[in-house]
Amino acid sequence: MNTTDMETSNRGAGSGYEKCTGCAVCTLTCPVWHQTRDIILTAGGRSRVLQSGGTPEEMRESITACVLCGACAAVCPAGVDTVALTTELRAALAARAPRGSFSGGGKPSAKLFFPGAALRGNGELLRRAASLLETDGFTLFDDAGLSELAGEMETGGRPEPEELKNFIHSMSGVTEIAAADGFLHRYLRQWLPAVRVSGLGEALLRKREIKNALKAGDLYIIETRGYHAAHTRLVTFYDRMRLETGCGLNTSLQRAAIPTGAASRQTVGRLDTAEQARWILHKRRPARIVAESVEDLEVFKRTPESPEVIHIAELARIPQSELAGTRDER
Amino acid sequence: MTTANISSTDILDHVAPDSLKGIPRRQTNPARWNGGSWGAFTDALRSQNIEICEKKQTCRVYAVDSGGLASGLPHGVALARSAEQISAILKQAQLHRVPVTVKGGGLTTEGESVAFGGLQLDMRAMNRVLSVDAKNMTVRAQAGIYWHTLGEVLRRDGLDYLSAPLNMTSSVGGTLSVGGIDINSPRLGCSADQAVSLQVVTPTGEIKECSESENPELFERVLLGYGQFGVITEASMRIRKFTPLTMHYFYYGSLREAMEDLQLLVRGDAADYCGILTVLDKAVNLLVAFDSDERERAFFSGWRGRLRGHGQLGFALRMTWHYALRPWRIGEALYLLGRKRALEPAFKPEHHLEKNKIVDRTVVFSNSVWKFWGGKRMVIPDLATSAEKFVEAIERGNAVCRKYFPRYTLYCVGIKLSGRRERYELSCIPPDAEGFAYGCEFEPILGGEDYSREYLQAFKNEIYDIGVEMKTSYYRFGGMMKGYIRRVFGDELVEKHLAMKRAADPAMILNPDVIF
Repeated sequence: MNTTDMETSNRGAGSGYEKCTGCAVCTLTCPVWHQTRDIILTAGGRSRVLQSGGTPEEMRESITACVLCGACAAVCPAGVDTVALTTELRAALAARAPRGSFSGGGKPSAKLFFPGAALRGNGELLRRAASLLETDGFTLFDDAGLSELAGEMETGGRPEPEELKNFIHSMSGVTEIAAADGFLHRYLRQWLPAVRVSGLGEALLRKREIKNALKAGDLYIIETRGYHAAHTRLVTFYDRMRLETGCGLNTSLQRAAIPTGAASRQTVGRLDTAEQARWILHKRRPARIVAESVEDLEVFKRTPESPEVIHIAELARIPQSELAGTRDER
Repeated sequence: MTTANISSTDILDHVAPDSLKGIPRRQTNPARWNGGSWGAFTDALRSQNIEICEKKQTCRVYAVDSGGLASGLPHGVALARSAEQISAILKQAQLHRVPVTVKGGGLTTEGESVAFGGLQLDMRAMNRVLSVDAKNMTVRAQAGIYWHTLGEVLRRDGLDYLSAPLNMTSSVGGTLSVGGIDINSPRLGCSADQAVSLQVVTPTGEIKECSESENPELFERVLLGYGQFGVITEASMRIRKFTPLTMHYFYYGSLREAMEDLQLLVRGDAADYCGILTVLDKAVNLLVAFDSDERERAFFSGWRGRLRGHGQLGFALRMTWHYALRPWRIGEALYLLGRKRALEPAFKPEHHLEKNKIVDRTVVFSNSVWKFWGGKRMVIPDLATSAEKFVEAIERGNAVCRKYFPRYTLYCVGIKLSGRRERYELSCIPPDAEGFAYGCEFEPILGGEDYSREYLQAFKNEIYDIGVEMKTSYYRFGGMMKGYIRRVFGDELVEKHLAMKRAADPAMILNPDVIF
């Protein structure tokens, strides 16, 4: 075995895959399993293949099929970090050079709002979200470079160490980040352990006017990646919100969030997002769907069974003047 | 020599290389099938567009079951897609004498679902709910479905299944084939008894519907049939309205008292759910739970006073006093305290509580079971007994646990029997049980200790030997411990069922070596 092979076969070691007992609890929340029923394509399957000496190349199809929703990591009784497992295996397959500059910029502030690529692509929603968060002291941050990095990391890339150091340095003085791209949450927490990281939904739901606008007939679609990255904390947060507002959630009996898979940047034609949306809506008749993520919003808008679909930032009334102000600041 | 060609004498007398010297048992691990006709078998299936995966990395994923002690490799794996596909597979398997080992959730612990060569048929790909009949309160589902997945679908209609193992990844087909117990089994019987009708592919490839009125012989053979008489592909089962439940724990310093009180509750139909979970010999938990406030009130007015168990505060005071007088046992006291601190929140997570009632009990229990008792090696021998033998058998089993391990857990439940059903013969239901059967799993807490395979096997053997001596039965019925079946039930009954198996499965290809 040469050095490259050794490096390749050692990928996934940081995830604790060796602890996998084969209980298959991960399959219950896995959207890829839900659609394919093939254990090999799940985190449990990948762990078992690695345990029996398999290589990343031998499970390429499985590695690329994952949508990295993180539901399996949230429910794994053995504590395998299945997201790390898949991203490490992707890195082993991609063997790509580290990504350079991604630090981004914006006004110095203790509280930053990272809108992510999808929200940046929707000017109206971006202005609404930024305007709402602005009243809580958040400053909109130009995170385009970070979004590109996230895209690369999801498909097997990694940040260049010196650039990462620069990014961390640039965040000194920051106490809180609201990031719409849930994929970034686990990394932001690793890189900036002193910073409070929350999702856009969590940040907005702290506002009374947003929570009060949710109704009993609503189906609230949690952004899955950020939710599962802090599942122990957020499962209680969202459950309380459900009890307080009476709205439904896209959660399973295990209290994992059912993903549409739309946020995935590497799904090689495997997951049918419309089927996921139909499963979330199965036997449910919500009066309205409220989505945290723009990707999910678009999926439900395309689903014929959907009622009115809105983004969480549309729950509050914002004067046009304030929206214009936000636009001007940018 | 293929498995199918092994003479019955060889099967009975074979002792595998890994068995222990001096332990009188007849067979443990079977020999691996040599694969002589594999090529012709797969060619025939591929000509019918049936996909067989022979990739090394795929086969390896199926090498062990939950027990982790029996290890085998199939020649190939097929994901079950339809009854017609399974029929074609079994027809070719009969023709080419290729063993077919069926796997559902794979939660066996004695290698029952492990393929020692031949084809592994993974039923989990057939996991759709086909119809829900809320008027007649039945559901029809493909048999590879996990009970949890079935529960997910039923819950959207405010419904639930009746009774299933407290493990989210048990499959419906696998459970109906072995019985299935729940903490509501004292009221509702074993899971197999909730089946209304089944679609079965027989070992010769016929697709048949069966129920108590249609092909009743097949129905009775397949339920608790350990996969010997057919592959269950669809099942219609009774269902009920979903209810959150209220749970109470009573604590005992004596296992015997807890077992006697459990039997009192079971006989009297005093609770909707009840069972025993031990932490230490002197810290035994009797849990009772209720679907309705009325049943809960009736329990507290009519039954609570008759139980000898303490409430939490009373038991804590008792334990404090006990250990205050025995300070050298501080380690035990700390273990008990640590276990209490870890288990209590896990069994009552805030996000599974609504108005102080537990919602989705199987999720709560299953998560806790995997978290606190799960591992890569699951050593859980058990005994299934009549009411009369229950206390003695479990006390003897507990003594064996104490001999082998510093920490262990016993999990005991009762099972209501629906009369003398044919399906109970040669099964986990003890032949002398009337009205109710009782069972107990003996689970050592292995922790980080590196016990040898031989040590674990010797422990299991000693538990199983109690079954032989007392003529009980076992929940884990077959696989590596199948030699005990003949010793407990005797040659006559086993030969009767072996003759039925040979008639149904001439090449003896379906789940070979599990029972016979």
